[in-house]
Amino acid sequence: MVGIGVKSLCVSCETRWTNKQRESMPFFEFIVRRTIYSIFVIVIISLLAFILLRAIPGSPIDYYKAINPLATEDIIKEMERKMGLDKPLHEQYLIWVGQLVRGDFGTSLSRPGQPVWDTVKDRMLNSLILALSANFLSILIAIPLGITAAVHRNSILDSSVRTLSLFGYSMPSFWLAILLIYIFAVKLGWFPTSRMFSIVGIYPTHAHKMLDLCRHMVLPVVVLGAIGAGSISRFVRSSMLEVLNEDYIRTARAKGLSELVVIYKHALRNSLRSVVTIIGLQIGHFFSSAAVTETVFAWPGIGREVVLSTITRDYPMVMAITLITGAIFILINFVVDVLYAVLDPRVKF
Amino acid sequence: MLRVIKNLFIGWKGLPLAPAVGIVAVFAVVLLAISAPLLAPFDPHANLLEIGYKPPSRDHWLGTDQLGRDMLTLLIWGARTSLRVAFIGVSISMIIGIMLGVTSGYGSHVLDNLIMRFADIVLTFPTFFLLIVATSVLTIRDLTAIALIIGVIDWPQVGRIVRAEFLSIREQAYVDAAKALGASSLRIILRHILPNSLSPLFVAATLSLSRYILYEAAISFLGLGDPTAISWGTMIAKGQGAIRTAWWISTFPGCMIFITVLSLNLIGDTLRDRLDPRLSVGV
Repeated sequence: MVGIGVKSLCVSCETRWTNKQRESMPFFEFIVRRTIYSIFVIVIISLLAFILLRAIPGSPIDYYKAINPLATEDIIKEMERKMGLDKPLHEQYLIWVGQLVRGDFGTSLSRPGQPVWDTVKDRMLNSLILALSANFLSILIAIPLGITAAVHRNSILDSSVRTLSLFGYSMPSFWLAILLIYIFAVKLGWFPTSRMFSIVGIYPTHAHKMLDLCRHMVLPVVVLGAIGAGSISRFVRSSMLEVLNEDYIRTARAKGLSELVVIYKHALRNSLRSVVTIIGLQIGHFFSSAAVTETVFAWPGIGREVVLSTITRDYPMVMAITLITGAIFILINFVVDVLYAVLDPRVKF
Repeated sequence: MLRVIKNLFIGWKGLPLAPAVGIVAVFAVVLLAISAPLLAPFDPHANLLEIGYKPPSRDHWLGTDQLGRDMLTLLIWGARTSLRVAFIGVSISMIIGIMLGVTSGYGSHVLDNLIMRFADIVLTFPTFFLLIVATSVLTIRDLTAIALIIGVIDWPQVGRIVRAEFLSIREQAYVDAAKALGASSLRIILRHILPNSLSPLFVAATLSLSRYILYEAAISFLGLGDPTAISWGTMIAKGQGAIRTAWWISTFPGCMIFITVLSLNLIGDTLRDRLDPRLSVGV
């Protein structure tokens, strides 16, 4: 979907020229096309989710029968009618979609009576706190490391960075988490082992609450951040290497620019495009790999909720999460593609 | 196939240390997996609660778990589970990926569009996320089913590689020559194009193996795996609760996963750097 117009041209010094060019590009058309495509994908996901929901053994009626063993045949029929299960499948789907559009995801099976959306909203926010902090941390580690490795290629510095990043993406995150818990929480007692807040949840001020949250966040953020840094630093290194070989870098050096300006203004800016891709993908990965990390740390996030509701067979919850996270992943991809154009005006859609 | 593998590894001045170590380690793990019944010092299914939670000693080199099973024995059997899922998974993603990739790269434009847009949709989601959702609806959780799901979800990566290779190779002169000689499409695909696109596939397979081992471990860790199998992931999960008193239960399986995945990545990364001229700039 994305093609690059002019290959060897520095974005840093040619911005004025390319900005003018971009006005003539059908940027608006791209947005419209991508929006339609995204909606199409979400419809497909919702269909798949609905079919799966009906195909798997165990319906809400079975659940109702299990918790109300005394219910008579008439009451069960009545319940079936209330839940809309007596209607033909396509009609059920349309009703379900109608509810979805109005923001109604149904009620949870494992927490009877509680709307799915309330739980999902809450858990989503908790995960977001974790994912964004972890992503921030891994960018903070990975970009300087990747640049250093690329600039001093084939030095000891380079091989140590590469080894570190290899360790980062070969490490099972849950194992790293358990090791860190053992060292920093059990042995040293610096950080709490799990949860988002202390069990005694009484805080004199809001600041105390934030401080408690921060203390609980350190270990999970370090785990996710370290693992993410492994793959991001590798991408920064390889895309920097690619850019450093370009003609315009040689020109910049020949102009007599200092090495600092060459690397941080010209090379980094030009290599950002591929880095943004991987960071965008990484946010998605944080959401899914967080399922594991959140389980280890008992962090009440969306990943842990998927696993919990899977084990308790809370299908409305699983499907709502699938749909919402699906929409988020599509949105992330969309934003990444738009960011391409912002960071690299050469990109044509 | 053998020639391709030979060309990938040899033909440069000697083999550098890192992938060599990786190859030795991977062979060691494969050997453990194959000869598990012979090598394992104890019965992996023995329940001897009275010798549970024993730290590493002369009898039990790596200690025992909650049920008094020997950790070393469990680690050796765990290699079997891990590699089985990874190998079946890779075979499936390769088969689906090659078939759809070939159709896409050699077939009609409409089919190509259809298959690639579908691949795009699948690739929108992180594989592990799809894996959790898919395993959650499984009623029979056995290793083959989990491997099957991994393979089915992960085919687009292979599909894209195959398609890209086919698109470039089908324009080569030798393919035109084969066509001019009256070779059938099937013959051109099987005898001329596919053998020439095996190198990137081999690299992808190596890196997939390492990812699938991590997936299997994570799925088992979450309790969504095969409950009857001896899996490194399950062992870590069981050890987590006992971390204060028995650190060895979750530490050693983690080491095994780490070593196996690291070795596969060492091999895969080296091969990829050599295949991809862009990444190998100055490396």
